[in-house]
Amino acid sequence: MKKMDDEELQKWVEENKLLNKETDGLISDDAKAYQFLFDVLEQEPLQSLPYDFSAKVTRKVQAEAKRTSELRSYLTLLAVFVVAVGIIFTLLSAINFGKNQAFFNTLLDYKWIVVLTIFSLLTIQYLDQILVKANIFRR
Amino acid sequence: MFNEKEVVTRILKGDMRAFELLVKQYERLVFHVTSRLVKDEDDIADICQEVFIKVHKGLFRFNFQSKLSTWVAQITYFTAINYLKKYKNKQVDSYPDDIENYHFTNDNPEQLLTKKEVANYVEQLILQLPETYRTVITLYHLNEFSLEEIGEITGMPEGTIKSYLFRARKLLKEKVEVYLKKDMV
Repeated sequence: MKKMDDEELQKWVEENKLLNKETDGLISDDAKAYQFLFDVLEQEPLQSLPYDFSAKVTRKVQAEAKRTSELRSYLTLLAVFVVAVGIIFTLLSAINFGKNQAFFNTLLDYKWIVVLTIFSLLTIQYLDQILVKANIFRR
Repeated sequence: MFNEKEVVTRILKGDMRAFELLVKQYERLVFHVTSRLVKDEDDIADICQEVFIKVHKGLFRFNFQSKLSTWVAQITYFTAINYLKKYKNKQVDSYPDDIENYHFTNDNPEQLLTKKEVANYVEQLILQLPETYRTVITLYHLNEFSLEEIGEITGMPEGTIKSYLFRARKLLKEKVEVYLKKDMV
């Protein structure tokens, strides 16, 4: 038999392996070494992920999805609140401008408190998300 | 039997049981690729988790143009490579010029007695190879991806993959040969 180089040998051993051909006794030491190596390479490693890995990952994904959905709800609520205040104020202004002037003036006097409150709430919510996310793989 | 289309559709509808099924189906693949690229055991589990979170987030983009396993393997490969670049402050090896003269540090095949020991020895040798070689060997032999699929996963040309595979197997064979020769005496 013609002596094969390594490339031909790898191809030959691979093809015989696929066809499940009996090659014992017919092959060279090089081919035997490749055959043995391919067997070893196909063996599963001894280590693996913990048995409850899939459940843990699912719980984490679920928790993250819940947090995202909560954040979305808060933002929607805020948007609804702002729009509602706008609509109410416009309606009241249209009905009776004079009476609402006092309400509008009060709101203007305390505008920074209102803005700061909304901003603080959003910041707390945002930081909470960031911190939880940063620790998600460490728990 | 695992039905890719059905499982993906269920996950996109918010079915977490279907997602758990997907994790169970591909956790071995994700673990194999990650553990061959990343050596730190604690980090391996974290990276595997990160991969599945990415899979869940990006599943709506999966369009069944490839196998789901190929897509999951692609996410795994790039997550592990990014981890190596980011945390290990390490350039990912590309194509070492002197791979034919590659020197393994753990070089004592004469002391090996059983096939199991040789398997462990080969595993140690694989971990000393450059990342690209490890990935190709793992995806081809352990996860049974075709050369074309490995190209899709890693973004490497098929010719390069073929060459990596050939060189890595040749290097490993030379080490295993020593054990076999001793065994045949």
